[in-house]
Amino acid sequence: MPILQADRLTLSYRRGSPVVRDLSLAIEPGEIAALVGPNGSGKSTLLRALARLMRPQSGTVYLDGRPIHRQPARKVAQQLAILPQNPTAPEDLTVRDLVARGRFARQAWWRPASQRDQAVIDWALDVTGLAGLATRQLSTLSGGERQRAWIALALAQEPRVLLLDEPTTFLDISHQLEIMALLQTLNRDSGLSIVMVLHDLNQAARFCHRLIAIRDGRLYAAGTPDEVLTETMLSEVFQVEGAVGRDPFTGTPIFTPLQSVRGRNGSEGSPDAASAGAQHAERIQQAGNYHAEHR
Amino acid sequence: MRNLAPASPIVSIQYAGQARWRLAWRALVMGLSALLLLAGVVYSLGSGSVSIPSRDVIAALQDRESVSRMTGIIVHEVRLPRVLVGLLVGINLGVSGTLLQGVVRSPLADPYILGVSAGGGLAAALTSLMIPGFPPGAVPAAAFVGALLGALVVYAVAWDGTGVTTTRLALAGVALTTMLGAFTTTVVVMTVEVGAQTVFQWLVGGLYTVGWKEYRLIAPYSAAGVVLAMLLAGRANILALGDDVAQGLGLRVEQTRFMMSAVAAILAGSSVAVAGLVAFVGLLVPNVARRLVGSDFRFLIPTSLLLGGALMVWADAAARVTFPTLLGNPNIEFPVGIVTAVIGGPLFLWLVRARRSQW
Repeated sequence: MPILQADRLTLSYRRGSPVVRDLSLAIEPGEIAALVGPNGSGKSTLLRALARLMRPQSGTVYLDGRPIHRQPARKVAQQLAILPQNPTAPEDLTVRDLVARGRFARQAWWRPASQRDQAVIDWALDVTGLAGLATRQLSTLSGGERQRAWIALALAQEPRVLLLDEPTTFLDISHQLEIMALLQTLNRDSGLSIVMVLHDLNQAARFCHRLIAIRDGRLYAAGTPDEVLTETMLSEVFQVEGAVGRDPFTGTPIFTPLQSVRGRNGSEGSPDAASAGAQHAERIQQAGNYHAEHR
Repeated sequence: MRNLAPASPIVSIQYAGQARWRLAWRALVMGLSALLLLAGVVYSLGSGSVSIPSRDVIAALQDRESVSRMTGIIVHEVRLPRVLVGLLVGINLGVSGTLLQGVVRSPLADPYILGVSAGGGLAAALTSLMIPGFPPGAVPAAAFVGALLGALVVYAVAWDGTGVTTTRLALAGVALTTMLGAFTTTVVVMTVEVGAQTVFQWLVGGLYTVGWKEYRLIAPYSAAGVVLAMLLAGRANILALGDDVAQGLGLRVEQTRFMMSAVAAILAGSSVAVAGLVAFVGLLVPNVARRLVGSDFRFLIPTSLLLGGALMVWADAAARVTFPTLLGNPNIEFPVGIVTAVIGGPLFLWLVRARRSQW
């Protein structure tokens, strides 16, 4: 049974036309799935609805088989954690104080933190590499450390599913890799299911088991990176002409954007761009061979 | 990387990374605030047309029989009720402001700005001045309802279907406060004939006429409000992480907001009912407290409570004795709201100037 499932979701904000229309998808336990799509495609809205942060106009979200909107927030929080795109916290908070708040759904207000709470907080700090920074204030952290602190907060909920909205967008490349590797480790070691909105398609292809492409609020395609990351998808969903090759180092599909075809409706792409794409793919392949030979 | 500079004097200590230091510092701040409050009580009880040495004030408080009959009467019957009411008004406003700043996640909120005080003030003025035979004991309850209505109107105006922004809340609050303030003034001007001091009492906040009766009016609301505020501290901490994160952590966000606003209305409404519209305490105290002990509501609420009480007790002493003496006319008395504005205004301006990224 899927851990998280959307059944014919239609989502809209008040006084607006639907942002997501009649969309169904299923997240299997233990997988990492990426929601990809251009700006305004509705992927962040979809993520919010999956996390019970907004009520669907129609359709149902099922968490572990039960309608998520018929369960209290506290109950859902014990199964599912969400990290929004740009969370803010009081800057004087220490890392440990922030992470400790992740235990809210599992604590009663009349009872102070138990030994088990403390143990989970320690684990969350440890696994995110923050044990040494536990007493630091958030204002003193770097962007990457900050993001890890927020992930640790989500982990302290002991969720089975973790949803993240663009967890790497504001980070430099090394911190991006650090976060993606951390999520991969959590998925492998703890069986945590992960759904995230990602902008970097190559990163999505490299770290996720499945890509879910959204166009204009509708599901365009869902499948393995190989199935979804195609030149056709790029042109139809992202309106970008590009070349898809294979990353010689990771073996995952990789794509190079060549030019935007926004506004050229129904364009199949110019022959020039197509040949440039082929050449480019070839070059990537050659680089990989070179790397393999000289390893 | 954001602001690396210490945000407050204590940050350098905290940065050294010891949770124990942090706790010790918070305990120290609260201890000193409590001392400041107690010193204010003793000073205020000893000051007035008859000066009483602190030693005698303390003796009178411990055992009334140990001092002269006159001292006993002045301390216990003349000054103590007024000092206690001032204390409770300060506590109420400090805690109310702290809760409201948590509700809107902004240091720019207080019962005055958000229309809570204005709603309470109008309700109190209407019931006690316009309705003959309205039981005086029910005025704080009416003020609570008015305060809550004021908050709800401001919130409803600022609501855009998905949430509220601080800017819209502040704008709506200022408009409502001005409007309701005009109504209150009208009611007061139309009905009060006993003299300028009573008018001021309503409009700028004062403690001229308070006695044990007012103490008994406000005390239950203060006690209930403070206990409820402390019970909400954990939830307020979750709310401080933003609506989406808070809901994701399992908090019922709108319900929490409503409960915090209602408790803030209990506290602010009852204080308006006995002391009128005292400015600045609800805005200033939580901001000072936050700079001293940080943003954790479990410490912020008790610190605001102590500082709010201390500020009002000292301000009332200044309004009764210090200001008139300084100005060469010991027989007049200033409304305490003038003093809180005179002390609070510059302090708040300094805070705005000195603030760093934590706001």
